[in-house]
Amino acid sequence: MDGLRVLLVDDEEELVETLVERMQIRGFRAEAVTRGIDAITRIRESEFDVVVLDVKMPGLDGMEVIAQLKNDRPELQVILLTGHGSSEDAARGIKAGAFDYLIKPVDIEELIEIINRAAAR
Amino acid sequence: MNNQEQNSRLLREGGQAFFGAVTASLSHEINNVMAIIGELSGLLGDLTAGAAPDRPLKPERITSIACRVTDQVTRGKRLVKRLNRFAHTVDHPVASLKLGETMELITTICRRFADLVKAELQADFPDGELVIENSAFGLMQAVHLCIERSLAAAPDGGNRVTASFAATDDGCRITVTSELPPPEDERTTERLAYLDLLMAELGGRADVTPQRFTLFLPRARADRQAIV
Repeated sequence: MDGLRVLLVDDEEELVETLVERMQIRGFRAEAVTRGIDAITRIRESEFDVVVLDVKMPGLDGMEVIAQLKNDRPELQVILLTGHGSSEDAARGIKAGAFDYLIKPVDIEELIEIINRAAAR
Repeated sequence: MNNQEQNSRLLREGGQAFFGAVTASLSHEINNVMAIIGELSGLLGDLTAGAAPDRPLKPERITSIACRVTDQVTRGKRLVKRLNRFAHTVDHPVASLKLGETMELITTICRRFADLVKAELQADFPDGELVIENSAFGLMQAVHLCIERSLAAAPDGGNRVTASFAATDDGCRITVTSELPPPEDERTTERLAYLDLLMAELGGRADVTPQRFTLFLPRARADRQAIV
């Protein structure tokens, strides 16, 4: 399912920029932002099929972003990225409406598989 | 359980919680570094796999990725060194401490906690060396507690917290000031009670006003001999 519009949100700029490059090589229309507030702005400006969202970020964290997104765009699919030992965050995210979660560091093929499943929902 | 046993248990549990919070934070950062290196390595693989005689790999692209890997390795080494220094603070219950180095370590560790609430954490340390004999781990725990409560003042950002220290006639004074006062809640009350207990254990005391924590520590512990 090439050409999916994916927004990656993580405060680790180098990480999301590299993931964007790798996803673009695979045919995705991917872009990145490093702050939760910027994610909300981008989603209001543009159409995305899936958002990949880090849970722990400075300022507006992933949980606050997901609550806002589900209010603005309930159909938008969100995949959470969490660290080790953050299963409680993941569970809260799923309860808040996230499609699924992955523990960092992610395997790109696994990420793509989940993105495709989320977009197909 | 008598009072002394109860205090010992509180200090043990408080120390474990502090150790856990710091190692979780540092390992989270190290994990990010590993994730980035993994993605950069994957990107190199992707580019190599996509190269063809009519689409050769550009050397400058490879050089750029190599530089990005090097930057992350440097960052990772710095984090591992910090974690290692922190881990060794529990080696001796009382040791001869260079206060500047100990304060630098704990404020650097706390900077990530400040970043998470979009607060500014400043270190305003004097030149010159100030040496005291005490527990590095306990001292850092007390400073972390003051910074953590100060950061709780504004979970949505906008606070500025400053850590400083100075010599006194009989030891040192560590100050943590906050532009905004910590919340007057149960958690703060509980943490301040713990701070008193911890400072008594370190042979010192804490003075707390709404926007200022001041920790007084003796030059040497009367009850314990330092391991130099």
